[in-house]
Amino acid sequence: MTILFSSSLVNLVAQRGLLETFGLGGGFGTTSTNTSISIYSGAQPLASDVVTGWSPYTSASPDFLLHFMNARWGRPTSTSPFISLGVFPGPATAVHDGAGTWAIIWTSAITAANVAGATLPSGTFIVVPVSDLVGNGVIKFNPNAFTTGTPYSIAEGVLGVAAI
Amino acid sequence: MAQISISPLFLTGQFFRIIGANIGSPGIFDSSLGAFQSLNSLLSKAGGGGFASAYVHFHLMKGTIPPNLSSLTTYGARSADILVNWTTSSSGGNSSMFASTIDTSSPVAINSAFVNATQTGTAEWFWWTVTDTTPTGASPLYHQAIGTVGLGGTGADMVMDSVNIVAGTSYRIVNFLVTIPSVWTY
Repeated sequence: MTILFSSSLVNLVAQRGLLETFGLGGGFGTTSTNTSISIYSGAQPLASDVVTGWSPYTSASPDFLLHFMNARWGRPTSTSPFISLGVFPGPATAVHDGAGTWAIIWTSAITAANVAGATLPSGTFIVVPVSDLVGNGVIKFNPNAFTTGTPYSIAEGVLGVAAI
Repeated sequence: MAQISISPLFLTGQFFRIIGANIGSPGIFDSSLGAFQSLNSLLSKAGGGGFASAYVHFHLMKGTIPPNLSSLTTYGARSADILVNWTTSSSGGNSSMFASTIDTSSPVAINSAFVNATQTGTAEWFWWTVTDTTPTGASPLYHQAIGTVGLGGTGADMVMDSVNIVAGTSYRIVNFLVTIPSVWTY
């Protein structure tokens, strides 16, 4: 048998796991921590792949499309079954052509210069899917196809407890 | 299938807050059960509670394990089958009960102090609950988990040298490993 945990554990993981890592100590509201989001095309790797080999994921990679800063996460109430972007980042300009399929959500303010560097900018991040508005991405765009030199904005950012 | 994966360093920072053997609950006051589910960790350390008393009970149980959690809606649902009860609370409980738990890496290794068995019987399963202040039989559960207990090689979730529990004899939990996954699909 596999150990059965009550569904309340999802709530616990959302609050004391994810949100506290994003800087929201308890309860609800929006964090005061600015996070960054890097958007990529191609096959989604595991977070552990990114940790062990950063070089394919720098902004020089043709799969690197966009980099957003100053995103803040939160949830409207202490029992909300999701965390979401409470403060959306400003538009970012695509540096390569492609369709966004996955993203790295950094839990700190990682800059464009950081993701251009040869060293993994931070060891604290999650890797999530990206999609258009009808897809099941954690980060959504309308649409999720990007052209070099054009600015784009995130349409939605939601990490639901059903997905945690 | 969509997938979310968490970096090792990100995940490491979550273990001690979710298990919470050596930290208290944060001092956020909210009277709803949902908030308690958000904030009270699984092994809330005694004296660390900021707003509510989270009572942790790790029960070694006799009898048939339920196939799911639907019949375990209150603290007293299977109280007659409790053989050993390792307990603490975030407000005035035994602070050393789970203090030797290692919850800063994965898998988390749960360890406890010695506790005397209250009944004689065959251990079949464990029931891990987090409840409110001084739980009664009707108290709701903030969190719970169940799993099988058996001898080595049986495939049980929790392995014991002997499942024959004797009333008045002391028992402790040693190196009960719980893995918190780093990859989630939906």
